Amino acid sequence: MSGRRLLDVEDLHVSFATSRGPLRAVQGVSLTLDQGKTLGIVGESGSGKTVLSRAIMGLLHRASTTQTGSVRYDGTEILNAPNDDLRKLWSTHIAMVFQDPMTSLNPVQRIGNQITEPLKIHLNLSKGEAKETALSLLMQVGIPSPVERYEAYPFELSGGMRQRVMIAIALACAPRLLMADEPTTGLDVTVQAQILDLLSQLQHERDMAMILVTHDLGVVATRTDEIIVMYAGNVVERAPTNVLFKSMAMPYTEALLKSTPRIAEPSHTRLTAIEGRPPDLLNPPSGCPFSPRCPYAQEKCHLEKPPLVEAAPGHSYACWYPLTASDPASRPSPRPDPVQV
Amino acid sequence: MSSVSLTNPTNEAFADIKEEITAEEAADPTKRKLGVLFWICVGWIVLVAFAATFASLLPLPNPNLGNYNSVQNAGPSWGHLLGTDDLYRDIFSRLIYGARVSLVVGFGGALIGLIVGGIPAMISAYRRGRIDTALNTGSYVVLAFPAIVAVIAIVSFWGKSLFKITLIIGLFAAPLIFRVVRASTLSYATRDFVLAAKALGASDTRILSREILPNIMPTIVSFGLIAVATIVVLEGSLAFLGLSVPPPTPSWGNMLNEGSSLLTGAKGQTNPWLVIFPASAMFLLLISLNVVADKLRAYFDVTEIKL
Amino acid sequence: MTDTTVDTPTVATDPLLSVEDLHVSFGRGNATVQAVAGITFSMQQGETLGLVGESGCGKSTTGRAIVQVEKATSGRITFGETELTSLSRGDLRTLRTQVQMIFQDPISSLNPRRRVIDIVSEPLTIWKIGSKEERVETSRAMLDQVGIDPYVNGSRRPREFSGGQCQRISIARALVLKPKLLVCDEIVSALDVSVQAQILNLLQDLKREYDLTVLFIAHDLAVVKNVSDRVAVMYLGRLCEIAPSDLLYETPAHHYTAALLASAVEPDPEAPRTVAALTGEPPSPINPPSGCRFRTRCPRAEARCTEEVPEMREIGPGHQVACHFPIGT
Repeated sequence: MSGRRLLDVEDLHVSFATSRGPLRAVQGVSLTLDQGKTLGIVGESGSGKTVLSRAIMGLLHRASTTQTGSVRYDGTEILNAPNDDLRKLWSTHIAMVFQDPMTSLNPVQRIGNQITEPLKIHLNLSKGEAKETALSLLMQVGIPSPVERYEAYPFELSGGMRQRVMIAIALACAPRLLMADEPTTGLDVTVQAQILDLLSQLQHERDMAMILVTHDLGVVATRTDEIIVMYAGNVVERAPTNVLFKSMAMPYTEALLKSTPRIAEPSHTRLTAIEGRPPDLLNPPSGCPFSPRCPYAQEKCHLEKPPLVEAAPGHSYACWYPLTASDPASRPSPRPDPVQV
Repeated sequence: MSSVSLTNPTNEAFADIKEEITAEEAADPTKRKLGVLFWICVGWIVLVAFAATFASLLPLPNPNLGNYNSVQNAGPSWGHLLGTDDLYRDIFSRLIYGARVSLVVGFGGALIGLIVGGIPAMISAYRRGRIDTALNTGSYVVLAFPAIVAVIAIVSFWGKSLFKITLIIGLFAAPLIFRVVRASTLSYATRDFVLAAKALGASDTRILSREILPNIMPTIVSFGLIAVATIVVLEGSLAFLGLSVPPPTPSWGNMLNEGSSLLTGAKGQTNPWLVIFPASAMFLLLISLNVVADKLRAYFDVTEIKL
Repeated sequence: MTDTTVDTPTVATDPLLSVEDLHVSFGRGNATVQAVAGITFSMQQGETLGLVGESGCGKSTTGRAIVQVEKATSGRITFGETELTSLSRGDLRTLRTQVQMIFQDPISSLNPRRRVIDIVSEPLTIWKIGSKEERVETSRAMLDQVGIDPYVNGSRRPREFSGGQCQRISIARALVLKPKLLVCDEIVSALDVSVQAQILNLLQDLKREYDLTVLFIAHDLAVVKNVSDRVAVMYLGRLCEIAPSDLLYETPAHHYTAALLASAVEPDPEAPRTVAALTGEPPSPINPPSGCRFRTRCPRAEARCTEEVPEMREIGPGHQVACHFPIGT
């Protein structure tokens, strides 16, 4: 594991031009990723995590988005780079596994062709060489009878199989960085475990860095080195995985955990739901974006937006009254749960 | 945007960002205007329909009898707004009375097609099963048949009258309408809210009329208007072949028919107005119908939920 | 914080719902899919039974057969004292007021062209319950109970609401007839975690208020455990195991249940890393394995499993399993 800095994102802002004004989907996100490491990006829908992952890769539609900040891959600035330059990186250096394999795979093309396509384009392999590599990839991702499946169309495969094909396509040109955007959402529990295992195994074998974008805290808990929690386009907490779960600082992270049912808990445990709604990204309110819903919110929270500060080595958060404040007296007590209607 | 009120839990709304924008858009009238062009076209259609319906109340010269005091084949003038034809009849008046034929055949035929084709389509698509397969296959068979040839044959055989022509064209429009309505119904019949209605104990009739029909209405209206336009053209073609309402009753089609011989001077005179005016009238009506159909389709598409 | 006011099911009374050897098949001839291949279970008044399994196991089909929107091929479903499968169409319609269903997709569960207040009062209109004003009043009260302000939002259409709100409206619509049995088919699967929690809490509250019996169908093990008194596990059209929730999750007897539990992810970095306990793909439902359907992936399978279909038998208080060699033997 060389530990080389592969990805360096600094103060990335992404907004979409809509008829009602700019929609600020990502607001000032910074992150780093070293070779061989796994970063988890966690957030609910509307948090900006998918936009972030696409922006990092340079997949957003240039005409309707404004992207500022810096995204450096292996030292080279790639934000807003022309497509020709990005094409040299895509597949060979950075690859993405998308969420829904049924819509991400070409339904009228055989899967064999879809895997050999990047091989022929990027690596200039001949048809025979590409096919051999593709078959080998199919075996590596655990698809039985690869020779027969090579000729199959996506609709002939199950969800788990299709996702494996997606992974094979992503890994075809041996990228150094793999971005997995909700790779297991919608898959069965047992298949999810298989796919996650596969990703970990391949990552280890190839010494790849991986970014795992998901809404499921369970998926990132045991498979990531570092986690970023996103809310309303902002990074609200960033910490090594163990630290995040053990001593989380953000009320949002705590609320997210508390509202997730756990197998370990007895049945009929009352879940602590988060009241309210995510803020309007067209007109972000002043103050902390989570303050309207935060059980610990104070006056200051509604007025001033807390900056992301690195309070402990590797552990950053954006909160005026974090849960880990050294002086317990300064932390306000949570309001009692409102009556759930 | 109302702020969340913590003391009044019933005000809680948990709208996602995307949905919020859609909601704002839905409430904002500027987003879904039909446009000036739409209203102009609606106006034109209404005007034509109005004029055609109340033609007898308007101060128009008799369309069927020539007034030998006028000039033959005259161009537009104050006495005859659009001129006269070679039988001394007023073109403007013939145009308005002729509109009756086009509109009756057009809207009447479309209506017959909707009833004969659309209603079985809804029922068959909802119920599925063998009847659906049979009707579906049947519609393919009829559609494969060249409709114009069939219409010509039947009209020649059965006789030409406004009612018969409307009926025949309507019946031949039915299979196409059947297919469109069936496809539309199918896309809604499998949705959960239909299943929910069934689970609530709603009768099939209620489900079809309350749940499915309001949803397929935009498609029906759009397609129906296109059908009207197509039928108007079809009538014009029939009239051009001499198979529409018999003279002297004016119809745009037979005005075109009669006027075409005067374009080339075959009868010794030329009067391009005889062709220009009915053709223009037909053209404007068709464009208006198409614009209205298209705008309506776009309007109703926007209000569908966007995820 | 455990909710201590759980309704414990009344013991030793006649069950509210009884399903016996239910079969539901689709298709014809060679392409027949046996979605449900003979399941038997019962539910007591006031209990929540979780039905869990992966895609293609037949749990949704079971729910639909109970609500009678899917026709059972054979078997008996008895609700109260009435046998549903033998009812005439008219009587069946009447019984629909007693059994209601909520679906997975919150958006497609509501007619996009109707107003919310009309959607919720539709059941009352169908059954001609009360006068028009009374129906509106009842619907408004119901919307209020599920957390939607009827005065602000009653005239809106479903597209103006989020997924969670749409699901609340569906719940209101289902409960306005005061049914006895509620079948929830993956009602929170399409929702965000925080919204999911709200809906689950809402369900608990309403269940208590209306004394509902709930069949909760889902694939998320943690959600099912949180909501249910008892849990039933299905695989490829058959029941594997039924037990009280805590017991099932602590000491599963069926190998499939154990595999499911081992594969589940928990938001706890200290938890043992989930292992893909099952390899391969589930077999095709058109051509299921003979005998025990799970035998092709079961670590304990033996010759007997190929020949003999395991019957559900009781191995502990309230704990039934269909396996020749359950865990622990």
